[in-house]
Amino acid sequence: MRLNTWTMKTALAEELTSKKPDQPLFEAVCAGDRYAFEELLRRHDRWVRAVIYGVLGDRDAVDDVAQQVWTTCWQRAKELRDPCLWRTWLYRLTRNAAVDAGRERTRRRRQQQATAQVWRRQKTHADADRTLARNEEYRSVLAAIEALPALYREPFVLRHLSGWTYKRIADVMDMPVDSVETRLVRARRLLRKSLKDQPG
Amino acid sequence: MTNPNDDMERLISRRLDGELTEDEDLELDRELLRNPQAHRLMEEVRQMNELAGAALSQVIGDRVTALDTPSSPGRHETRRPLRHRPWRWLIPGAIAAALAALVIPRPELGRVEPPVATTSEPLMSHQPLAAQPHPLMAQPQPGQPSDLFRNVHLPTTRRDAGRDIFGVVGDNGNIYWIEVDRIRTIRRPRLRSTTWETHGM
Repeated sequence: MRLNTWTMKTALAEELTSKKPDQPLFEAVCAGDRYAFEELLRRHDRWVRAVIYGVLGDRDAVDDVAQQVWTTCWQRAKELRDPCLWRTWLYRLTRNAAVDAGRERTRRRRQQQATAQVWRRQKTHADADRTLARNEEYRSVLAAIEALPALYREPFVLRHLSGWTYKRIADVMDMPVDSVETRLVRARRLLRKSLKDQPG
Repeated sequence: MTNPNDDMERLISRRLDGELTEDEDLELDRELLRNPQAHRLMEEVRQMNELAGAALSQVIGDRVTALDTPSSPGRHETRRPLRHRPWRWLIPGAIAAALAALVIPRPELGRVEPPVATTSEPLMSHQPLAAQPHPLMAQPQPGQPSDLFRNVHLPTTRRDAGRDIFGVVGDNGNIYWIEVDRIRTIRRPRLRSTTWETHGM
């Protein structure tokens, strides 16, 4: 892994002793350190992608939106006044990008309604030849997750992919801890019901 | 008054997420021992939770290209580690080559150094082509009259944008291309002398 050794040693040493992990890394990114940005991306790409998937419910769009998010993060990191809030800032950036992508997708779908029938038929044949998941169970549960309301899907996906505590999810999503817990319970309830109702 | 089933679901959900307090943990254990229905619910939610986590990790946590691998229905492909698939680097290599073609100037048509800072003053001046004849035009071909080539002006390199881009490989193998700074170079209409101005974006 390419590292600017002085910057990274400093950042890592500070992270181990700091109460706010990764904040020195983000501050190095604000200063234009590309290696710090690379490390930040590697550490946090997973939950960023989880937020995107949680909001959109479309795995095909995750890559494009993630690219946009990290590009914007690099370009606008220095605009953040308080680096302590970088995680919340990145979450808002990610969520807004995902919401905008969802709106754009909806707008494009409305415009292309006339050809949707033909496109869907062709896509079905293509999907039959693609491996969407390792087995039928994965496919079923992913379809059930994508069918969840975004209100429940977002914390559910975030919890599973980031492993964050309720408190951290609540801080990032700016909501009470009880709300996070309630949404997770309801997400699991809906998923169980959906998987039971699925044929086969 | 809360529904007892809702309370049970909440406790089970908190246990799966590791958020139970000690008292709640004991309460749940007692309930699981005495209530077979609660025990079935616990198993059901636990299995569903594990399945969801595994499916999400495969879709979002790992490389998305695993899902794009075409295969006939019913055939299971063994996924080899990335290092045993050198052909996968052709795609980012092709992207890098295309980007390099945008950034690296063509030497034969007048070299233009990419601007490195956004300033209002012109970074370089460009001599009119008449003062820098193309190498091929400098020596007329044998048998050809030199008059035909004296006033021929070859097209200059049109550079509308200079970009500094670096790539970052994510933990799942995805490559993100980050644009450091976009600088647009605008070519003024040629007057007596031609100068380049640079506008930062």
